[in-house]
Amino acid sequence: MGKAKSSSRKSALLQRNRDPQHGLKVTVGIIIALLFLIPIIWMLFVSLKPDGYSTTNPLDWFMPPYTFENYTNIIEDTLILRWVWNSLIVGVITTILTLIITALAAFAISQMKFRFKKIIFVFFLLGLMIPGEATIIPLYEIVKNLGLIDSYAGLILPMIASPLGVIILKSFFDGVPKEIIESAVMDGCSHFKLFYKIVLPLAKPALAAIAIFTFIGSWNNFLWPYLSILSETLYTLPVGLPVFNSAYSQAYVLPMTANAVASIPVIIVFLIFEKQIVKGISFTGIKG
Amino acid sequence: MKAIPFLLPFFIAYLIFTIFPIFKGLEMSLYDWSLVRKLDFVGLENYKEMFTDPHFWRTLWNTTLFVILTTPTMVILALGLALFANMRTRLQTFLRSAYFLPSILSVAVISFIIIFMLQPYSGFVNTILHTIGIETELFWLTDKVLAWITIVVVTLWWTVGFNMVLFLAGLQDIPESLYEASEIDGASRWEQFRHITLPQLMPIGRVILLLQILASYKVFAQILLITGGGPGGATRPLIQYIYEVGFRQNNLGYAATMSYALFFILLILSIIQLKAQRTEES
Amino acid sequence: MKKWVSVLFGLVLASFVLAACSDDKAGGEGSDVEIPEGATEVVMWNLFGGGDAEYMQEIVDKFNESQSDIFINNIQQEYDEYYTKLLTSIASGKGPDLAISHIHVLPELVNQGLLQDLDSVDVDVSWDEFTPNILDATVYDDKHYAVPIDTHAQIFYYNNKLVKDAGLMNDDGTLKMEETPEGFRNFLTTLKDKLPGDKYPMAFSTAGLDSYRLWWTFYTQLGGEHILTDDLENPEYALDLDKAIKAAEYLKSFYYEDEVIPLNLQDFYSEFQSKNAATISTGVWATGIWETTEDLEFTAMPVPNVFDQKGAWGNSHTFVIPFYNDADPEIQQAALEFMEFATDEGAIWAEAGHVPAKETVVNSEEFKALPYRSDYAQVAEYVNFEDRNIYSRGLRDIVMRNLDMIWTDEVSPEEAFKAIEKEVKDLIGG
Repeated sequence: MGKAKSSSRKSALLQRNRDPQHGLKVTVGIIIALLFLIPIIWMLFVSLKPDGYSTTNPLDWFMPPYTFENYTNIIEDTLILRWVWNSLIVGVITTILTLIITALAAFAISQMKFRFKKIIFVFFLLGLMIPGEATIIPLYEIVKNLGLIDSYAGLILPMIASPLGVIILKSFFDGVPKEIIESAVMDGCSHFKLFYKIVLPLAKPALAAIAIFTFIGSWNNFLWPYLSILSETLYTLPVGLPVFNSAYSQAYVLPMTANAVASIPVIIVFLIFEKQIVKGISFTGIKG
Repeated sequence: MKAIPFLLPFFIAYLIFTIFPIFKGLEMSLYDWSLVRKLDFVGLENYKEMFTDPHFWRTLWNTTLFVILTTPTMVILALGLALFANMRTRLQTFLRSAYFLPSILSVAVISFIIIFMLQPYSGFVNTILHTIGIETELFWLTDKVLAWITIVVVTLWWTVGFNMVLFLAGLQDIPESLYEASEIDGASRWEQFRHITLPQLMPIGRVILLLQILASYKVFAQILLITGGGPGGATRPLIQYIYEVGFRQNNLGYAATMSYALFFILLILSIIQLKAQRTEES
Repeated sequence: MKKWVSVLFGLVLASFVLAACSDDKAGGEGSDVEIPEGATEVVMWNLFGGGDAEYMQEIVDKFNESQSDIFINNIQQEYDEYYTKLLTSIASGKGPDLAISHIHVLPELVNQGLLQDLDSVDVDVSWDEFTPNILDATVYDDKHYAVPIDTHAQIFYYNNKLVKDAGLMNDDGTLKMEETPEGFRNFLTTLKDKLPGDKYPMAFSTAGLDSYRLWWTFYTQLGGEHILTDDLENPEYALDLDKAIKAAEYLKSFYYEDEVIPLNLQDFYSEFQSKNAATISTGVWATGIWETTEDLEFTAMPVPNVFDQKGAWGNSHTFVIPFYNDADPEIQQAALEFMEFATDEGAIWAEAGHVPAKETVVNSEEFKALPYRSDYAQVAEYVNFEDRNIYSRGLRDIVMRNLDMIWTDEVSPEEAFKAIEKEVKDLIGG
């Protein structure tokens, strides 16, 4: 591995030397990157301004004085953190449940023998073609009849049966070497033990990818919480934040602080796990 | 039947929340159905209404327009950014993070950053324009054309990161040897791009294209939050109309009917996508 | 390297948990209120914002302090999606015990079976103290379904100093303005000419509810009566097209021809509050906001009656009790007792700017002593209420959306009303 890397680096150096426009291209790349970041940077600077601040000189936004008072206000006087917490809890539970039930189902289909297996798998595959957005109205009616409107359970349960997860995990389980499975069965390993002790640890990369995807999906889910949540204490961030922000139309500072409070945690998590997240996306993206 | 405990949890959730809604939706589309309860059986009345409802067609067109405007620009931008982010430079990580960062922010956050930046008279963008001598007050969110431009640009900015990552993965899968061989043949960089990079990225490009179309047909949140579907319904997408009919106008039956139309469109698109992927794999 | 990453991540997570927990204890806005022991909790939803919200809370607090058996838990909901939420929540059995509703939404709520008939609740309400024409609008099939709170109308305010600077104020504080279409326009264009360039003649919105209300005001001043006939369940389309177009053209000329209203102000209230605008038109509820704005000297008056007859847009807030199969009669009685209390305390509500629904309150010294209100209380006598039928909300959505296209100059008034006619007829199944 190390060798291959250094040789490719060498050819890269070669290429760089040969490309007279390299410097220009990097500059353009950086300019685009800055354009991408400006709105986010602007949001952060505005959040540091005194409440009620307004200016018609765009550069003023970035100038001192700065204050952290808005953060205290937002955290103490509003429900923003509560909504961050709700989003986090719903995201984490949705992710865990999704991983458990899809892994169990994928394991059965991949490693166990039973009747109608093919039919059941195809039946699961059908789900890929059913977009949640197109069944949201009847889903609402069903969840209402189950009495789950305006509850965490109502937010989480409809989102956990992910056919894509089953497919990805099944193909991953299929790749587990037969010898490992056979020797485990020889040792009298039960199916559950086999699943839990041997197959699951081997599937870590696939599980991580699904986890990242599920969590981001849940974190950003708008339509379903928008329909099914009524109490402001149960709002998730995407639903709560607009309610908060729309009360302000010209006062920039507090809405931007709210946005910053909602974003800083995910930005930190992203910067830490960037590699895994990127890997996870290319993994599921290509499979899906 | 040892498999049952393994299959059951998924099976139940899948049945109740994925499969059953399809049949429930069919039932609802045949009734006058309010938020409160099932009312009268109306047969195909809702379907008849749909075909003559100008708003249905208008919002379906708006959604389609959104797909038409965002899909090609998205693919090209994602490819371009992937090329930039794949350059060997010390800033590589910075470029990748910068292009991807907007994708991790909540739709509510990006929408409200944009709303505030684009405010007339005192907004960040308009004040910059004033500073550089453009005195015309641009109404980004209330002018029909500008509202569309805003929606498209915001969507690109917000979601291009995902597609860029997919292209990056594709770029990294191209064997270095191909470039080396062509270098010996004296190919220019442009020729390398045209004859090696592009063809090698074709498969992933097609996947991205179809995923993008599929995802764009579901557009709702950023439009609802940024323009509210306005001005005067000019940017209102189909899902917003379904929501309004179902919940604001208290007519779940008709909303379910239009959901079926959306379902049908998405079904065809995903069949095309699966077919394309199948041919890719074989 | 890896270790400190996971430590950092752990810290981030932990801070989240801590923050969320401490938030729980502190109690966020309107959440986790402490209910006194032994008291019956009545959950109330309101759709108020700004000043309205504060005065309603004042009434609720006063009631909660006045006795210890009932506790009203007043929860403020977002205005835009209020009725959507109210309907869905009642339908799913998770709605409030007591709610605010505009008078034009009542027919739909009653028709859907979402409201409790108040006569069946065992509390005596002094119905005879209410203004009869408003009370009538809350009675269906001879049963009371709502307790009226107020009448509110679209009115007009001006900044005394700016108007004076422009030389448009008489010695008695009234405006130098002829109440004719041309007179009002001249007034506004004179403001434009005389005031410095950074002051607006009139702060107003270019979309949404306020433009709709002002259009309705001019429409009714021209003699337009309604959009649909008065039938609650089977109304017919009855817009007076000529008058509707004329009213729209009149308002539109303020935006484009005369340029006396700047286009697309994000927050036109704040322009008036910060003394950047000489005049403004909005609902009476703004009185309470201007009053509490420092250094703002203003006058309130009806929207100038520039056309043939007096007219102004009007509506009413009411209290309702949602219907539930398994409702607790004790809670319903508590809710109704609060309604009686709150309407008796109409003088507090009047501080927000509204005209109280109880005649006894309107005739009280307390109300008469409030400044400004008397300047427009007369409007309550000639307001034209929004159409009231089971399609009211949908009707308003359609009209508003199409009017918006006129204000942005996308379509001509003729085209807009053509579209309105078609859409409304579709809506009412005509």
